[in-house]
Amino acid sequence: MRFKYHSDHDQNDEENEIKRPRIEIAMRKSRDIANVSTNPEFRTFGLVDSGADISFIPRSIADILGLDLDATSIKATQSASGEFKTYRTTMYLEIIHKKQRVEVDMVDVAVPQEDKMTENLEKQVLVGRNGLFDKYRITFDEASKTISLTQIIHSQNVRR
Amino acid sequence: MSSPESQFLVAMDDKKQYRGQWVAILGSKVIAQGKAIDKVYAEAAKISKDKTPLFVKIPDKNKEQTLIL
Repeated sequence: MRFKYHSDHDQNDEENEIKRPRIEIAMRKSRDIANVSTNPEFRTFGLVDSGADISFIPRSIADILGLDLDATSIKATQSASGEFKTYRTTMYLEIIHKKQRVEVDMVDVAVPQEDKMTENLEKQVLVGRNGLFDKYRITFDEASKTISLTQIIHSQNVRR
Repeated sequence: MSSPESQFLVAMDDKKQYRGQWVAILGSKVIAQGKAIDKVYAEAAKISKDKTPLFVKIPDKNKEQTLIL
């Protein structure tokens, strides 16, 4: 799968246009079919972040998805802007490519206790390494502003 | 680009009116907008029914920053 870097600014707004390796994704609480009442789905762009151990979504999106946010799962999380507390949970992730949905499956995700604690991150959806980078060989091509994901085929019958 | 909604987003030349807001896009139409994503999601869900819109936060020009995560 190959994606062009994405910007949410107007195409003619060159002053502000910073294109980033963001891909279209769909998130749900579980693998079950999306249902607005029982298993809501949220479709947006996620920044593919090789520096993030796990994925990250704002608290507001986690609440929409109905993710289980257990106080016992709270851990310290380190970002470039400092340390903050996050819940640790899981969510179901799909990549949307050429109108097709490609399953990534369940991935670990960090959710801030409150969005205001992570003001610099609050609008970001980060797709971290866990669950994605072990399934896809990912190449960032900054020169051509593209990101490529090639599925890694794990052979089950390895000869010794 | 992938979905019809993302193609519509790229082609949109009037994003300025949505700066700092979340927008919900279904097909080639913005079906909901606002600053609070929970309200935008709820409004969009009423309209989209069994389809999932694309939700995008349109950057605020004055707040767009270089990202170092």
